[in-house]
Amino acid sequence: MSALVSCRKASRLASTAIDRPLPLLKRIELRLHLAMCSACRAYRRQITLIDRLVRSKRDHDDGDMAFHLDPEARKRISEALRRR
Amino acid sequence: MNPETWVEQHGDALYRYAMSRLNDASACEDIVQETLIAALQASDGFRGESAERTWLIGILRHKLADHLRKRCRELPLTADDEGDAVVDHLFVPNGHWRQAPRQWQADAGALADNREFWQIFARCRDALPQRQAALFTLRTLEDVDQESLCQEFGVSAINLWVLLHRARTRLRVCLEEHWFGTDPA
Repeated sequence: MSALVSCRKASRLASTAIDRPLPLLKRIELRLHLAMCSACRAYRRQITLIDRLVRSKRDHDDGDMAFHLDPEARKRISEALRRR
Repeated sequence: MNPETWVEQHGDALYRYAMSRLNDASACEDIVQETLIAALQASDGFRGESAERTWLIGILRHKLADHLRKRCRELPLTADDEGDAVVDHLFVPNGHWRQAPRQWQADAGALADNREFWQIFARCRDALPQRQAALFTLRTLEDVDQESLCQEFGVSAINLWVLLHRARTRLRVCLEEHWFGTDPA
């Protein structure tokens, strides 16, 4: 494990790197840490997988087909629309 | 365009879209209603360039983001800003892992279509503190940019990264416990 940054800090850098490019120094800190730390590499793989899975849902997601608008709600919404 | 048939034609789809982002049936019903009323008032804006469904989903996304924001506005800042015990517990005081993350045996393609996985995922997301759940959903699922999130939630950029880091970390802990933990890895 790196003497430069702790795992806690490295895990935060790995998370931030998903959202935006890190400044050069931070990128180097993270890279050095990951090179030496298999736990943080596993962490990064995990959150990257989560991110990728969730994003893959974004564009072609029909949601859970088991969900249906409740008949009462359906009626309520139809009535609200008719009142307009 | 025929608003009379909207509920019949699009109600379930809109409701499912909302539920996949906010697992709260009554809130999602309200959001569907607000969406259709807003659509009715804005129907001049519909030019038939996109399918009616796509247009309605676009409106729904705004309503959903509004809803998540309002929910969080009522929360005291201390709700998750004073530190997060779950994340703190993962590290020993010098910043090393108390318990190292494991290698997940995962096939991303298969997981994406696995309904049971998404049910567990929804449970894990719902277990997040509200602000973290809202920020994670808007950032990852709705791709809202950093500036808008900071502005709308009244958090600094640093704070946003901290909260997203906590959200991801809690999600992975929850998934490791309830999904990946069952792998014979």
